[in-house]
Amino acid sequence: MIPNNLLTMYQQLKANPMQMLSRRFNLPQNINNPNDIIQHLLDTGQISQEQLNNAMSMANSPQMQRFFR
Amino acid sequence: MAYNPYYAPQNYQQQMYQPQQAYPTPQPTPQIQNGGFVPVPSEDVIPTYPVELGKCVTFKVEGKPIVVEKIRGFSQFEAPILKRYRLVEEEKQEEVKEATPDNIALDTIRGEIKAIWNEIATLKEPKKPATKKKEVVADDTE
Repeated sequence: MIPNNLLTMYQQLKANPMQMLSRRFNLPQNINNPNDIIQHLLDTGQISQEQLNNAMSMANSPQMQRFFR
Repeated sequence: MAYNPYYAPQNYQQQMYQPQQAYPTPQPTPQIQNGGFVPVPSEDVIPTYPVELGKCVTFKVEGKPIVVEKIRGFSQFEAPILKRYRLVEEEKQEEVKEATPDNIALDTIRGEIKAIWNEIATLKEPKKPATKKKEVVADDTE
């Protein structure tokens, strides 16, 4: 049996994913560009430069590129 | 004259010996830290790549001998600095001697010493006697 709050969260995420992300990571309302979001997370210390570099290297790898096509 | 507590001798002495405030210790100047090495498919990605405050990220463009450094200062209002470098392959066959000041000085001194020895050698050679030329004397008897 899935708890109600989890179902509610899933429904909210499906309906408006940006709003959920903004609430979860305390993003300002005017930011919606991916690079700006990442820059905000870096500036607030929620992610590190190393984590970002690893994620970007993974995203640019040929194995991952086929998922984004 | 009315009694003024502020000018009483004991109060004045207390005011004189106020404890000195400790000077704040000088903070070390923050230095730019290494932000890692990232291979990128092209140079277009670099200007928009997010970099943390006070970090320097090095990018290697895949397939080209180009390395770009993106340096971000400690202020959010400061634009990041981009430095572009071109890689040059070193030849393995010849060992190229670096022209350091010490090497240049040694080479010039060696050259001068060699020149001096050559000069000494030429001076030591036996000189050939000079052949006397018959001088034609004008006849003044007439």
